[in-house]
Amino acid sequence: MKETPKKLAAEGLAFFGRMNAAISHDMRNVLAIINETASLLDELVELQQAGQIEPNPEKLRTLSRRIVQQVERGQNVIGNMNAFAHSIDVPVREVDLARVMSVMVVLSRHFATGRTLNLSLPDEGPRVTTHPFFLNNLIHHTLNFAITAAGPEKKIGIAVKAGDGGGEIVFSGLATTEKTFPSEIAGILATALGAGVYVDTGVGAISIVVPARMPGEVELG
Amino acid sequence: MKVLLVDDEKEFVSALAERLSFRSVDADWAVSGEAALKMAEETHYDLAVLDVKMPGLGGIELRKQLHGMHPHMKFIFLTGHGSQEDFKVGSEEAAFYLAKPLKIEDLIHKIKETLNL
Repeated sequence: MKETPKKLAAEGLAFFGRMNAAISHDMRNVLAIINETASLLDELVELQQAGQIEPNPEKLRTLSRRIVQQVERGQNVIGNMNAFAHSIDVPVREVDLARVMSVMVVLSRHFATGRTLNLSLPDEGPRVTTHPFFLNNLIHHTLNFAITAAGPEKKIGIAVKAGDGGGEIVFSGLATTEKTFPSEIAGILATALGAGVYVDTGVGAISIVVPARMPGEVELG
Repeated sequence: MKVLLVDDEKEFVSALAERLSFRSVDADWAVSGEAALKMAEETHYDLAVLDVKMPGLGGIELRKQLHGMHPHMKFIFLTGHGSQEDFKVGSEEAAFYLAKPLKIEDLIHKIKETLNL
């Protein structure tokens, strides 16, 4: 295997593992809330039956609704996990950049400890024909860079817009003085996608410019 | 015994505090590290149970700041991650490290063990 495909394949596996760890973290939180709430419900009923506390149907209803809400939250987590898992199904296809970004931000919140991510997405984003898995991977690296380089307010703005026939993803609120993107693998991913990653130290932003159609197939074998 | 629970999942931490109260554990709760620091300025806590991953101030940094304010305070970490790295940090920085979802009996056992009760 040539050096670049080998790096892309190894990075892809590592990326898949990182995202799975983040998803399992989200699901553990959902299960922890369901576990505590259901156990609390059970104990409240037991205490009421023993005459140790007054019946409080409204509180029981609030707790049972909380369980339903967490089941819905869990379904959303699994929906995003499913969308991510299927990003590898067809190597190159048309995607909505806003939808891709929406899923990636939800899956990446886990990595943003200490930072606030403010997402500003159009209902329908620019459509590009690309390799969705590599694009997800590039977004992940760029977002991690933005998280590390966040300014004193620790708030990162994320926007998606059309541009030059393709699309652009902008991460703002950075306080970096680095003018080049400090990740070799991100550079390899950007090259494979025909995308550009640009740091603007003047406005404190980093952006990914995605072409309407990636230039060619990526050979991994 | 006074315990401070800190986790950004309000539904989790509030239910846990109420369940602990049924077992005679006096527990306050906060949903951010910043709120926890304010509470610790006004109240003496024997032990804090901290979520490792939180927006804003995370559990590891929060532990350092709480320890600076109250050198005798003990700590237990909670995490939904379960990675080897979390385990390593949790073991080094706190008395115990517990993974979510919790068994409340395990938490109470660890609280008593940490406070030598």
